[in-house]
Amino acid sequence: MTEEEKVARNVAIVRQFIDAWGAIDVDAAMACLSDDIEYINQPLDPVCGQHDVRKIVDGIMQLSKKVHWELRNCFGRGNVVVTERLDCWDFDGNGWGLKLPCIGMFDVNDDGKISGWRDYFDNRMWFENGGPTLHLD
Amino acid sequence: MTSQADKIARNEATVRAFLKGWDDLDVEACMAQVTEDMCYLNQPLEAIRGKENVRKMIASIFAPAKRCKFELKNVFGHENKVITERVDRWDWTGSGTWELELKVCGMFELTENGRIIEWREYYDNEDWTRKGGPSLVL
Repeated sequence: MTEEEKVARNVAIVRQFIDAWGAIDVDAAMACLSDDIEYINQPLDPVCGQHDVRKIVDGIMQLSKKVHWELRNCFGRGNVVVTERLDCWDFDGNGWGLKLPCIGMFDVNDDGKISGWRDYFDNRMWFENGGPTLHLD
Repeated sequence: MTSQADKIARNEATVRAFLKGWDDLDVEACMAQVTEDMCYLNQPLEAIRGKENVRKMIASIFAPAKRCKFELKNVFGHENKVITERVDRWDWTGSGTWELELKVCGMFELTENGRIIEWREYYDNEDWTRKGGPSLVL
């Protein structure tokens, strides 16, 4: 696989992951992630492994009526992909109650699965507009 | 004619020079890399527009800082964009320790001639203010 092909493959898996959020499909989302996935909502503690990350992803999706992550920029280099996004959330069926500007950095492993996911955003904006917990209690 | 790869390398070098200006607390070194109509956006705050306003903002961040060091975790460009994933470390009081270690991503947009025209920072604003970061509003 050329470097270009690898980056294209990595970008495709990240786009697939983002589409799964739009479909509110936890299985489709988790299928994009490696067994040893490390998920960090900066500056919170990392959540590691399929089991624990699924709990968080599922918890957020359960509370979501509609999700649309507008992808403003998406490109890769080596095994890293950046997504600059506006994450639109409808938590109560009354429209986009939260539009969260966000950057997500993704590490993709040799098998083409996402093994690192680091989101950067303003936590207060998330929590004050209906965003549910982002750590396991 | 500059090739696309050359242009991306040049853009990355511009962004690295801009961030080096922060390490040196050197406002003019930073400003040498930006356009007159530059826009600086700290999500989720108000955008700061124009070189003079951005200069004021950066100078007022540098004013209370004793030392600063930006660790670059990832820097790479695509078309006219450059992404930086960083840990920005600040010593505000001269304690010799890093009192603030801010995890942050900055997305830069550059002009055809390789100057920074837009800079969008994504981070947790409370993490910044709680650990000594000064106001980011003019």
